[in-house]
Amino acid sequence: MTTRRGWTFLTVLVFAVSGCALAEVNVKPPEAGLEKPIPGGNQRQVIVAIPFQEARQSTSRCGVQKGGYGNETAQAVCQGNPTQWIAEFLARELRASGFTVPPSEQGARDSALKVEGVLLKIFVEPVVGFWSTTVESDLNVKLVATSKTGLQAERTFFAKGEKTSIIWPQGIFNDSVERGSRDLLTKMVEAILELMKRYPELGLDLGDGPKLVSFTLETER
Amino acid sequence: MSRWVLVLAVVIGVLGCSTRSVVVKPEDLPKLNDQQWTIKSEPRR
Repeated sequence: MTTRRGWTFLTVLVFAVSGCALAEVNVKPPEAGLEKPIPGGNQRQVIVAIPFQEARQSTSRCGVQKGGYGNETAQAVCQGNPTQWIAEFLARELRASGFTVPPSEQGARDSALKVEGVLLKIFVEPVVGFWSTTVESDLNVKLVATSKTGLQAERTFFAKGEKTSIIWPQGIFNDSVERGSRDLLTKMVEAILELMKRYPELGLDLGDGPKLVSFTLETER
Repeated sequence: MSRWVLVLAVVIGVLGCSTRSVVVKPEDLPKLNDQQWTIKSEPRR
């Protein structure tokens, strides 16, 4: 009888400790991009292919929830499609940097830079420590940059968001993803600026030079 | 019984600190980021 009561107590204790971690976590897209845009776009044209291509090993979840002992207790699932919102965030951030980002490739300049992305990973996971836990978010994207003038370049970006807390409910997951997304956005925008600094003719309207259309001598009036 | 519960709690507590199962260590980040663009074809000038 004593043993049975003990096991009941132990079971209740375990559920009490890990109870808050049993619910599925919904990972939300960040609400905003970078706090301070990175300048340098100078109205040059960049086309962002939305959405990015999907190349994650598992698309059924975006992470895991863990109990106080580091045991996996529930899944974390992405709200919205990350291939869509990461691409949209990049387009929005490029506009904030001063680039012209047309909604589609139609009508774009021949010199425009086209950026296509491949989402390789987005995963959020608590790393449980003795005193506190850090919720870490990994984001991995490959960008392929091309132009009608013949450019073909690619670069892989890996960003991590971290948020440390004593408890780690859904809000901590979202904060971690927001930090990771901002790190990723910073890296991608800086890299695009670097590429366009290397090839300054990209995205420019090469026919925008001064043109003399008509001239009237008005001194005789 | 209470002694065994205590021992179990201590063992789980000590061993419980989790390691990463999918996310990478922060110190591995530089290796996973390309430091520059790989140019496969340059634009015509």
